Amino acid sequence: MLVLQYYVIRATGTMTLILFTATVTLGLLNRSRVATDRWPRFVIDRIHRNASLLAAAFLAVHILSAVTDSFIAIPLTAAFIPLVHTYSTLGISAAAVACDLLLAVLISSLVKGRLGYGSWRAIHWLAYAAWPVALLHGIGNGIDRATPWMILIDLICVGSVLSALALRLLTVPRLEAV
Amino acid sequence: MRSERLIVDMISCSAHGMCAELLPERVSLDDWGYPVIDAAPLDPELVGLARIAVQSCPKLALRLQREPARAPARARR
Ligand code: HEM
Ligand code: SF4
Repeated sequence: MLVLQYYVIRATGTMTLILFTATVTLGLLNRSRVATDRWPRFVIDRIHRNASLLAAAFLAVHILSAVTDSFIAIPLTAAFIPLVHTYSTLGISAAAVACDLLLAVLISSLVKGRLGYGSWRAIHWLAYAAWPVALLHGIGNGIDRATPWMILIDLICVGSVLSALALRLLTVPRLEAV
Repeated sequence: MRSERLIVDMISCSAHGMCAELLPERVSLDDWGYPVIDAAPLDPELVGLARIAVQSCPKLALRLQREPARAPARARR
């Protein structure tokens, strides 16, 4: 059973990374007002939201499977507080930081209407900080980090976010100048 | 019975146009991409769609305003 659990930790971690990457990429594309007739902006917006909720679900399973594993024995607190665990301290601390930032982004978005646009937007920026930290956690902790397919996934994720970010930096100042 | 109508806060709106994509029945865009909204009470079959448009407005500029369909008897006299 322990072996199965280890697969669950790795599979859900990888799925969280992929979904989180898709979420960030779509958010950036939408901010650049990228859209076509077949992919209108509300479709991109809905996928951005739904991918983020799916990522949160996978993250929940990822954390649960990690903290209930008796072999690596990570306490639940380590998922939220950096430096409390000494197994691969840097990697798990990065995971805790990413997790906290994501929780703030998730909760603020769920109550966006009550929070008001300005505060919500300020918190939503934290997603940009969480993404590279989560990526580093995967590269630091993952047992699969050196396999060709995991390297490929990491490269695709980095490429996806960096190209969407480049597009945003090029387009948004022009949009805003109008 | 309450009816609902769409209102837009033009100060917050930044012409994303999501509302016109989602609810073309009630929202069109002017030449600058800003929404022109039909403020008549929403038909019941449009309320659900209007709610989605409100949720989707990136600037929280679009709102549903509830109001009594008819003024209550007390208020009328
Ligand atoms: C914030 C979002 C997170 C993302 C995107 C993420 C992603 C990943 C990825 C990609 C891997 C590597 C999987 C593999 O190599 O097959 C991984 C492994 C792991 N993660 Fe996370 N993770 C996150 C949060 C967390 C948290 C909060 C914890 C805290 C308990 C955690 C604990 C672990 C553990 C124990 C492993 C396995 C390390 C190993 O293979 O030895 N992760 N995660
Ligand atoms: S979706 Fe919101 S910001 Fe965009 S045009 Fe409509 S009201 Fe304005």
